[in-house]
Formats: sequence, C-alpha cells, structure tokens
Amino acid sequence: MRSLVCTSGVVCFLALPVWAADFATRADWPSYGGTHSALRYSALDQINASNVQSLAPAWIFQTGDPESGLQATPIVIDGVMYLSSASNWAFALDAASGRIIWEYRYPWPKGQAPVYGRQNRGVAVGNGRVFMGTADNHVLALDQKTGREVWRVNVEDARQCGCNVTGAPLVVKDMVVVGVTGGDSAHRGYLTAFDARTGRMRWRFYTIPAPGEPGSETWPGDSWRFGGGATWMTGSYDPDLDLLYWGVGNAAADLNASHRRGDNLYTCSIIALDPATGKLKWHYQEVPQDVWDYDAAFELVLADMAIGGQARKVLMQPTKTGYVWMIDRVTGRFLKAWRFANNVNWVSGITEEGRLVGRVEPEVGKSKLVCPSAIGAKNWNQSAYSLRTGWLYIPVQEICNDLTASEDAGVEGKPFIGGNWVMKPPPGGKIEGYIAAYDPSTGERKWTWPASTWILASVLATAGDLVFSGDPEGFFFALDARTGKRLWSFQTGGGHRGSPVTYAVNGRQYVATPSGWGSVVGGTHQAFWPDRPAPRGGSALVVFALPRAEER
Amino acid sequence: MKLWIWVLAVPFCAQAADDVLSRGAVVFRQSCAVAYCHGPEGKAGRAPALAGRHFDAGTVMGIAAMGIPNTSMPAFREQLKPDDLAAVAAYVVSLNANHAEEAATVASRAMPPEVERGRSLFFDPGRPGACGSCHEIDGRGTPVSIALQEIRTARLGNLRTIESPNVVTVRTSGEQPFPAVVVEKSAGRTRVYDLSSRLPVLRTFEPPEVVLEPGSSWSHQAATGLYTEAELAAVSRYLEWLVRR
Repeated sequence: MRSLVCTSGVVCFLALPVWAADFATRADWPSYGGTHSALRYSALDQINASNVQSLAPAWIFQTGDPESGLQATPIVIDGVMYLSSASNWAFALDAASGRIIWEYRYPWPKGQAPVYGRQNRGVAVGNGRVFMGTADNHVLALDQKTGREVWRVNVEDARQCGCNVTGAPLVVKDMVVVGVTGGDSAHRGYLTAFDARTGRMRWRFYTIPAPGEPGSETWPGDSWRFGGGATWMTGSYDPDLDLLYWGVGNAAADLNASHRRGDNLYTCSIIALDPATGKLKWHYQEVPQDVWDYDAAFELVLADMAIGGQARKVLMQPTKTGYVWMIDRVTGRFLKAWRFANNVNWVSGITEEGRLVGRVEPEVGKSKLVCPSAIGAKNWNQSAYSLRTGWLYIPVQEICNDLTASEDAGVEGKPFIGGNWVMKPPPGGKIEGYIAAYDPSTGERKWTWPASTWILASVLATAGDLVFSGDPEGFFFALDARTGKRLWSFQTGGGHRGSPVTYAVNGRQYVATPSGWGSVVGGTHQAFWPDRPAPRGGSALVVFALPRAEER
Repeated sequence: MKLWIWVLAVPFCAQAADDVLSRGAVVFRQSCAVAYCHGPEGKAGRAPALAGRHFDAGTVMGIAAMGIPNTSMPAFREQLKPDDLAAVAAYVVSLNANHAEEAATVASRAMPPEVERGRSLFFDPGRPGACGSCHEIDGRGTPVSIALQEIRTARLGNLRTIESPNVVTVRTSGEQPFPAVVVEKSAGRTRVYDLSSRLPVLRTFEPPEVVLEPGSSWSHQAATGLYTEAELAAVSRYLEWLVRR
C-alpha cells in the first residue's frame, strides 16, 4: 500500500500530510475497508463533483447467483477484480472489461441451512491467494492466478456451533485472520489466524475468557461457555503500531443478562491483538453487560486527527448504539463518544470517561420501547471517512423496538436470544433513513441527505468530493461531499445491500457497486414501507466510468 | 391454556385469503423474520426454519401465542392482535407449498452423565484440535479420519498409542515434510489433510508439486496430548457407549 503509483490521467491528491498515503486507496482497492485503515476513502478524483453527471455504465457482471442478493465488497488489485457471491462462488474479473478470468464454486453444504441464510460479504487477497469464508464455517484459499483451491480448513463444525463465516477475511502479513458469526447462539466467539500459504492455524483468540483467565471474573458460573461475542465483521490493522483491531459483537443471551451478571468481557468491545501471537494488547468495552444486541462488530476506522487540540491516532467506530466511539488506538484509552442518531434512549448519556448513564434494562414479561433497535441506528453496511473534508459519512436509520426479556436456557449452538423485539417507529415520529456527514472531532452534523426509505448499502467517499451509495429501490447515487446535494443517480435494477468501491485501470477511474437485495435485515423492508416499491433481488456488479472524452 | 383455546377459536377465514396472507407476510417480517429468528420467508435464520415443515395453522397459532418455555421462542399474545396471529399462522402454513422438507435433526438419546462428559470433551469447542476436528460421529465433526462409530472398541485400545498406519509423509518444495492423510490421488491432483497444525487442513496439489511417502513420525499422541488421562478416560467411555448402544 505504500508503493502507490498514480497512473497517467489520474490526478492524485497530493496536498495532504505524508501519512495520508497509508489511509487512502489509489488505483487498487486492496482490502475490505479500502486500505487496512478501513476509511472507505479513495484519493482518485478523475470522477468529481464537476463531471459526475456524465458517469455511465462501463460494464455489468451477473454472478448468476441471485438467491440472496449481493452483499460483497469487490477487491481490486493490478487491474483484476475479486468478487464473491452469496453461495460462496468467487470470481476474478478483468476490472476494465468485466471479462471472467476464473470462477470458483464452493460445494454447497448438503442438508445444512446456514445460520443467517446465504450471504457472503467478500474475499481477501494477498500472498498469491484469494481467501473466502463459507456458509458452513470453513475458510479456503484459492490460487490468485488460476482460482484453483489450494487449501480449506473447517474452523469449527457449523452444525455444533450455530456459527459460520459471512464476513470478509483480513490478510495481515503472511496470515489470514477470520472471524465467525454465532453471537445469537449459545456459543463462545473467537478470532482465528491461519498461515496464508499452508492454512495451518497460527492462533485463536477467544473473545470470552475461560475460567482462570483475566476477565473471566466478569462471567458467573458457566455463562462464559455460551456468552456470544461473535467477530462477524472485518477488523483493521495498523502496520506502524503492528496492532490488529477487531470489533466483538453482543453478549448472549442477547436481551437477558440474569445468568451473566458482570461486565461480560470482551463482548461489545474493541480488542487490539499482537498479530504474531494473537495475544491481547488492550481492549475497550463500549457496552458492559449488553442487553440490547448492540454489537460492537462494525468497521474500525483508523485516522489521525486533532482531538481537543492534540494530535491523536484515533480509532472510530459508529455502532448500533447510535454513538460513534472514539478510542486512542495506541493505548485503548477512551477519547469520546458522540451521538449520531436522533432517537437514542437506551442510555440517557455517556460520561467523559465513557461510563453509561441511565440504562434502560429489558425486563421479563414487560415490554419496553428502546431506541435504537437491534437492527441498529446503523447496520453492518459501512461508513466512509474523507481525508479531504475530514468528515465521517454514516448511513443512519431511525428505528426503535419493543424489547421483552425472557428466561431461556442455552443449548449449545442453538438460538440464545433471551427475549424478543418488535420493530417500532420512534415516539412521535416515523421510521426513516438518511446519510449524514459529521465532523468527528466535535460530533457536529454538517448535513443530512434523507433517503426515500433507508440506506443499507455502504458509503464510499472520494477525493473528487463525492459520496456514493445505493438505496433499496435500485438507485445508485452520488452526493456532494460538502453539501449533501444529490448530483447524479442511476437505476441499477436491484436493491443495494453491498459496498461500492472505486479503482483505476490504465488511468481510467471506475466506480463499482453490487446490486441485488437480500440479507436478514433487508427482509424487514416491506414491513416498514408497505407502500413503497419492493426492493428487487438479483446479484450483479454494475461498474461506471466517465465517457472517454471526458477523462482528464 | 384458556387463552390458547381462545386464540384457536378466532376465525381467520372472514377476510379474503389473499388479504390474510399478505397481512401475515407483513406480520411475519415484523415479528418473526426480524433480525435473527425465522428468516425471510421462513427459510433461514437462527430459529428453526418454518418453510416446508407442514405445521398446521392451529399449531403455529398456539406456539406463536404461548411461546415455547425455556427457549428463545417468545409468547406473542400480548404483542399481536388475534387477527394478526391468525394471519401469520396462515402465512406460515402457506410456506409449506414451496419448499422441500428440512433435513431431520439427530434425535436426542438418553446418555449417562459421564458419557455426556466424554462427548463434550470429544467435541470441545474450547480446544481447537479436539477429537471432533478429525472424527465424525452422528453427523458432527470433520471426517478426516475413520468414522469411529463403525469400529469396535476392542480395536481402539489405548487412545494415546493407537496406530495410525494411514498417515503418510508429504514432501513438497519450499516447506518441511509434513504428516498427512491422503484423500485423493489422481492424475489431475493430490488432496491430503495436513495434520501438522491443530486443525487439519485439506490441501490440494498438482501432481508434480508433491511426493507422498508411506509412513510418518506422526502419532495419535499429537492429538490426544490435548487431554488429561481423566479426560481421555471419559472420551473412551463415550466411544464404548457408542459401540454398545
């Protein structure tokens, strides 16, 4: 990522401090979040606010795997795109033309229903391999040039654990690091690292300490065995600090803590590990004893900025809670948390030390309206952080839920929810979604762009001062990064539940977006907006570029 | 119980069937498919799949109203109106038409506590490389090596010193020779389970890349070393129970 070359015709933004090169993407989109800093920000600016109106389709790729939509983030390296679809098919495509170089189909596990349905959020590429997690909890490596399977390993029997791999792996040096789902099952979460070349396990970090280990005092009795703590989204890595960061999901049972009184480490926490050993360097718990299903599993945005007049290496995480958590990524110290959603009542506030105040606890046999809902003020679809504006762009939804706790007994690998939720509009309001821009150093909201329904696709920011995303009704669109004004849109024909990227081949900038509705949360759409057009399924990658005459 | 009968008594044929089904679909998405439970169209999710299970409307309504004690299935009688319960039941019944039957789950069998302990150790999720990492029993575990329920206990003997004649040595350029179980050896490719780390890795080679030599320095001790004597004794009791059942 350091040896970046700006190919001819692509104007790179050079007025930034030197460190910016480590955070922004250029011609490639090498990792899930762009770079290992997960900014989802590109320094490419050939496509910009002045010419985006001319953006037109360059090519479209149909995966042929339409059952559950397309949720992936494509990876682009040296003009080749690597893409995965919901049934664990993987593709290598010529990123300039869409021509198939190779394809791979994982033998779909017979007689197994994947725990959260068919979905896959992407591959990782490195060390000459393409890595993918599977619906039956395997990890596999394909030869980057041929697509031939090189190794495959069963992370844990999916039939036993009620878990699997839906997130994109992360390549760190000569390893691939993989998280698992299972936070709503009677399961104990973990993160596993494998040797990229051979597939041999290097280490496993359990997100819930076993009896006798530090932190085990936060789990009474046997509750640690089924405590959740899934690692279902993709982490980040700081090569200078050599720290691997990962977000850990909710505690189980989701809505009832009666059997697990304590802080329940390291659920709803950010963990920083030594990638060589998998040993914990520090942790920060956002939500001790979570009872709302408030995963801290989402993107960990690494940026350097001034906080209170002091330069800081910051880790930002916008989560289901309606807050952005800002942590010093060197030490794990809490810096601040600021609210990005309008409807938040699960706490009355968060102190300057990060302590939660005025928690609304679900009760057995009694329904309570809690905002945001378990879907979250933001779901797993990612925000973007622009190094040009210095603003964080978050896809937000305002949804509350009636929570009722119940006394469940955990049975290994089976659902372990401890209550139920019924989605509700906010008090006195309606269910709605928008993209908003925030100055993360202050939490000030700069603008709001209201969606026709909500935004369950990731956001992409570019040095062309554009913010891209897509909506459930099929529109892929560009907003002015400074004003939030919609500058351009295109009807792709399928609802958007994936993550757009941008890249360049031979000096030509492309913007690529998955199209095709799916996912567990996506299934609630028509209940919220019965009068709007239903999101269309499908599984296509739609790629845009400027007409050749307009490239500068 | 009274309420349950009352719920069943609510007629749901008063409205046109299509209206009921579309209302049921909405209620289902709001209350049953939400987040992790029965999934869109009842096909997947964390809770049991509902599509293709041939539940009748009365059963579905009863369970939806009363819940299932000690599970994650809540009682919806306070949250859903009787009409909505009826509609959602009709919707769930309508899912039967379109989907094949789910695979049957393994029936639970009465297992004495010390046998259950052995089974837990065999499949211990806190121990990567537990017995289940290489042996499949009753549809659980990874079938790298022999399926244990098919062999006689007498042949098992001491689990630490059990012979493993099927393990070979793999030589390939750029890495140390490693112990492996051969899965496939054809003109086109060679597939082996690499046993050199705690989770066996299924590796695929093209023939010129790899040489297989009979025999290996690997022993079953490498795997059983994860267990104490007492734990291994419990595992043995589980295996003996499997043979006798």
